[in-house]
Amino acid sequence: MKLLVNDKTVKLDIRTVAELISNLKLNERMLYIQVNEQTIKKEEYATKMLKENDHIDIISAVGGGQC
Amino acid sequence: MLKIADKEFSSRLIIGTGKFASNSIMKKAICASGTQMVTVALRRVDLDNPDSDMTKAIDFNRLQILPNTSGAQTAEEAIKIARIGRTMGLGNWVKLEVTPDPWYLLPDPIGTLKAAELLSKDGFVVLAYMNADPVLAKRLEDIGTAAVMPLASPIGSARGIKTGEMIRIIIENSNLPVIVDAGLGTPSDAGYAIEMGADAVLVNTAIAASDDPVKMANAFRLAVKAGRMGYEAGLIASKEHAYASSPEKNII
Repeated sequence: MKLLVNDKTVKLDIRTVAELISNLKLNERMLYIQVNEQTIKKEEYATKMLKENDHIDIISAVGGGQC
Repeated sequence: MLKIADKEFSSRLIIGTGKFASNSIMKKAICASGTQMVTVALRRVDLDNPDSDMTKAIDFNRLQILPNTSGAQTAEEAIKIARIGRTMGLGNWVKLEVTPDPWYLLPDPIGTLKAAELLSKDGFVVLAYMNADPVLAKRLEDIGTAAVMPLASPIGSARGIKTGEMIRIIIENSNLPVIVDAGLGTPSDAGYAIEMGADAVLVNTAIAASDDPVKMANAFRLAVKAGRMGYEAGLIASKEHAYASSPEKNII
């Protein structure tokens, strides 16, 4: 399925948000995810189905101190 | 003990996690620093660099995580970032940064006060990055901020404590913890801030960008410890001229 993840087009064989996180090898505990500008709660990761051309935004914690 | 909101910390050194050469070095430096609180930034995941996921290198159970609102140029942007951090599960502590000027990264006092008030009312424990302005520090205290973080000099500049006289007044007047943040370049800068009576310091670049971040983290740990012991022991007053410490009578 073709998806737009953080403005980048990717083709992945996945169905749900949880599978997307697993495919990208991200730390599920520390993410903020929006699908088509709608925030997905952690408990919905496993059940939220993705569809062709969905726009997904993923935010994570990164190293940072001051600004 | 350092007390912020309802939490106590034995370490007075807070570490920023940016600019480390690797997650492994960062992890060792955090350990060597003895810190109990680290700051993190929130960013969109870089799909080309999945290894940049540093959340696996931080012990979230042992350390207080302080997400910052870096990148926010307005109060509204800072509030949005703070809420994203809370939704992510990073807790309700936030290091509030509203910095519209990219050259000096100086904080916007009006935007900071506005965001601090809204976030405090929304249940956040707000640690506010601010210029060393004693009046602003009191205004932030009045609206429910948990700690004030006056800058020593511009972020990452390693210029040391250039705002010392104002920081001294903030420490004298404030009922909140005062955390000297930004611009500390050397362990002695950190020690000096703590000797003055600052409750804590936040250091990132001076450690992360040094040749040996693990050794530098240890140096900062020792300097902060020495500074605090000096402060608690009671520094003597400075004088205008010499006072002999050898006996002045019965000179040979």
